[in-house]
Amino acid sequence: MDTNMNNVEKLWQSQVTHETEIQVEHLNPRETHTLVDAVRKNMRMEFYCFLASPLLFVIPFILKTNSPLSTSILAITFIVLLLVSIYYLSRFYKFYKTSGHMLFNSKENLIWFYYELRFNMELYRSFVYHGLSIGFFAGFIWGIIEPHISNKTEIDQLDLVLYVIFIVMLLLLTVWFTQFWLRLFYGKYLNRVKALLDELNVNVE
Amino acid sequence: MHLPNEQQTQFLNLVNQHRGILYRLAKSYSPDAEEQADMVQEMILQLWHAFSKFEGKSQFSTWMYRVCINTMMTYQRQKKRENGNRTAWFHWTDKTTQQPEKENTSINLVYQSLHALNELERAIFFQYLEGLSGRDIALNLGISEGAIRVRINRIKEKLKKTLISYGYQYE
Repeated sequence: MDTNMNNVEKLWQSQVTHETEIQVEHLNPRETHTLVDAVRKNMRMEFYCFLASPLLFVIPFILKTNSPLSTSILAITFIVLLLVSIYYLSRFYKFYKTSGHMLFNSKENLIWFYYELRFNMELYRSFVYHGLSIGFFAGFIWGIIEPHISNKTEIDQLDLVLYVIFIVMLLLLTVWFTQFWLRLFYGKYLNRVKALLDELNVNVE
Repeated sequence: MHLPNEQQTQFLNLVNQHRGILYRLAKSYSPDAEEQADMVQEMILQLWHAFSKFEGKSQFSTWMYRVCINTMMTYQRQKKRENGNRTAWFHWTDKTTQQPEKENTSINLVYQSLHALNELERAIFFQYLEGLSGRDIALNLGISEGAIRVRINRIKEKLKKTLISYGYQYE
């Protein structure tokens, strides 16, 4: 068998391949196709979409449903969400920057990337749930409490029940959608990395 | 025409000295010429991005193998090529070689059998065929030298069976 493989090795060493000289034009940036770059591309896309999210706060002004109190509630909600967003986005940015320079050996690269991606996916869930909690609380104040204060009317029990039902449904939908989104944009790459680590006989949870 | 700066010139000189690595590795991963070109471009870009971190502690070729193998292990194939011409290997010829048709076919079969290996096996055996030591392969992949030796022996057995099934003529 060794003799036969020696023939294969000699064949390999003596092969002549068509090789185009590498020119400076080959160094021009273009879309790259590694697993890491696919994740980074999705992160960039999501960030750009996220930049449009403050527009949601304009809706009440367009609908002309704002009173001085509701405007204050919206402003406070906006500031709190902004601070929360800055915290989470700075963590994502750190992962984004460091994932672009993986120079260790294959196993270390993959282990690092696997656990960092998993961690950032958990951070993503945490970000969504935090934002949701703040939004629900602000919505409760703005939708239920504020009209009661502004119009000096009793809190409508039916409104309260409907609001709770709405919140529960929205919560379930958001949880499901977040899981789906994460699986679609990041989970499949995590599975791919795990498969590679399995080949390297590295046990990851 | 864009003129390269000093760092680009240095990089291009080094990469061109060893550019065969890129082409042979790409051919080990795909029979499709267009996809091979894409893979070569991918490896060049990853090498260029990482070049500023090359400290010269190891030989450039050793470092190049590490970056290229890492790139190819995580390369995402484009969907449009998933249904590409899977029989390309039987029609491929290297127009620059003057070797007899028999040897052309034999090397094609070797590449085809590499294509049938899984990611790790291909990465290991490609480096073995390139003449890297077990120690260097182990360092590049992050697994032990003993594990590399065991895997190489298993891959040889597997490869031999694959080559025979493809009609490779052992002398």
